[in-house]
Amino acid sequence: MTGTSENRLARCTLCPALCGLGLDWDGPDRPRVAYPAQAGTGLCPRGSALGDLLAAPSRIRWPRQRRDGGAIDVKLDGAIAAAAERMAGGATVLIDAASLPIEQIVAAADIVAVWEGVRLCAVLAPEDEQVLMGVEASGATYLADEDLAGCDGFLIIGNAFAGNPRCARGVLDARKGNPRVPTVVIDSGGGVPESFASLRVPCPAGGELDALQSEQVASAVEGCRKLGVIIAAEAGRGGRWARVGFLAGRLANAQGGGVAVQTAGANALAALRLRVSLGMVSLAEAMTPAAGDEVRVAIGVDVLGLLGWAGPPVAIAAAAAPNQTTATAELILPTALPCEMGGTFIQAGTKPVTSAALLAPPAGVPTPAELLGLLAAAAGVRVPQSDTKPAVPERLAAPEPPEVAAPAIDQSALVAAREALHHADGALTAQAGWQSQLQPVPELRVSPRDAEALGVGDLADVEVETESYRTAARVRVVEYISPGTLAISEGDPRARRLLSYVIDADRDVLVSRPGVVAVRRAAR
Amino acid sequence: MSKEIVQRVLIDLDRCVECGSCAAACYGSHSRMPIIQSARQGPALLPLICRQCKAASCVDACPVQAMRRDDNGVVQRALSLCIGCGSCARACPFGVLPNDVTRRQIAKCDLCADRTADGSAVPRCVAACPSGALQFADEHKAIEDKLLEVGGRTTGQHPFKRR
Repeated sequence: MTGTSENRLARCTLCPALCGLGLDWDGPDRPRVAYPAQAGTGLCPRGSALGDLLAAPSRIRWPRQRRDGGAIDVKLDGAIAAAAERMAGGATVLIDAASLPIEQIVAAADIVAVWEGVRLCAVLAPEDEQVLMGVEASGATYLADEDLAGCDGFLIIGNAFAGNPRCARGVLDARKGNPRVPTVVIDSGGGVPESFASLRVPCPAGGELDALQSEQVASAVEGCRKLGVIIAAEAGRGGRWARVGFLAGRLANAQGGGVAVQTAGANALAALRLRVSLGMVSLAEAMTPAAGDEVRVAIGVDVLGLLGWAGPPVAIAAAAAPNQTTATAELILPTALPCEMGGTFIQAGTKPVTSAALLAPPAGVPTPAELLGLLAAAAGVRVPQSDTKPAVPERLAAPEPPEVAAPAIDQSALVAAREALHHADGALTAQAGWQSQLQPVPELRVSPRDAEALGVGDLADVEVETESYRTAARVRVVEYISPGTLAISEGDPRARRLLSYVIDADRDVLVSRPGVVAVRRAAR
Repeated sequence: MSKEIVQRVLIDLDRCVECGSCAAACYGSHSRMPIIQSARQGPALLPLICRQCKAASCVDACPVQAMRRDDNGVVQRALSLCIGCGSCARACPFGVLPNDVTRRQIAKCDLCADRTADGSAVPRCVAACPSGALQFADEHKAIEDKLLEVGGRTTGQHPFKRR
């Protein structure tokens, strides 16, 4: 199998599981993911999509420039020169740090450190950033998937089984040994973990923090000697995730256990630590409108899709496949897929794991650090060479996060729901054949009571509207979602526009709040 | 005379987390055809695949002998002979044969014969399952562990609609 050897295994880096990956070929131009010979580790639909993406017809392999209402192919050296010129008045570079190896993040930071007028932002999903800051502040131990089977109780917040399906194995193995293992679930999106719960804590939209502090949760876990807290921080919950992470971490500490945060991207925690320790700008600051000629350069991150914004346009966007950000960029550059880069990932906060590249990027397609190096060289910057092996980033000395008021909403509220189908806003995975066939429109979860009131049933086509956007969706009636709360797939850029983010300048974060929602049957 | 199948794909409903990993793995490995369909069974999302019946209606129904049982007992479709008539899909009492009329070919589970025939590997859906819900095991284990055979529901061929 290509991509494997005795010492260097290729891995999917789209979530903390870091599942092993192999490569097979259906022909010289049709790569596909190869699966292990035996059952054990598994590979979710996101990892399976990577084979499709390597040779997808939509793959961006050369630069394109907008001109006269269209886009034309241009040569790489000309595009690089044009980009460097555009960045001459100042630039903020955004990289998808959560899925990148440490070596790429550190190399990018080293380049920007010597490039006057350019700032770097290591992007991770805003909710992941907030919950990780809270857990860092709590001092809690981080748990990897293999640590979960040794727990004697679980607190699951959000659809963690969608964030990382492999974490379910540890929970289920623990329960197999002892069916009375308490499994407490808090999830306003009505996800799969609810159906495994020994205690479902009622949770309306944005009510995760209040549910966590309830007497029900405290008494359910008080007998645990090793509590496993598993969190998937989903969008549309009102920006309270830092406080959730902090209190969940404190609870895990008190019950002798730890926290497993199922982030979008395997290196989210390392990226956050590096962002703070290397003095990079926050995503909120990077996306705050700037005065003057400063431009934004997005490398490998669909920042507009992630935030659910239509604009302002990002001037220069590098991506492996078209997305919301490249759709409005002046200059589009190619860059490698996460699986085309090898390097170091940090699991459970302390364990370095090496991943080999599944396949080298196509000829002429640079990695994010290589692309930044080319831009810097074109701008006349002397790019530093570094052979230092990156170290495991140290835990942040983060302060206790402040209290945040619950979102006040007295009508039907929409939240976002994590799925195993898509990574982040779906910019990559939506290009894969199975994903696009299975879910051409986002899925909308509703309670049986709300479905009856709306006059819809399972699989009904509907229109969903909030104050910011309107889109089509397909209904799925689920038992365990609170009446009055509806959940839409967060792995769809149209869904993200329904719950678009706002900048909270006081806390220097981006917040997505539950949206007042109207749902109508789609016109036939 | 072909052998009977000993090992089948079995599902432990108490471990299925509805991630769709099984269907995604199958799709990518079988000419990108949707072989594993999904149907809801209470809390679980069941992958519906061929039951490898001992008396296979699809084999009897096929007018061109494209459906046949191989030497290992696995019911397989010969791609070169299939004319896309859909007779097998209609004959199947379990509704597990997707009728992809656009491509005029019927996709079918072959238990990943390319890797399971010599016993060295499990089907890709089983290998991809992250929660341990799917197993490739013999029928006696199913009875022992109270596991439900995959594909044991009568449903429509569309992933979500039911007859």
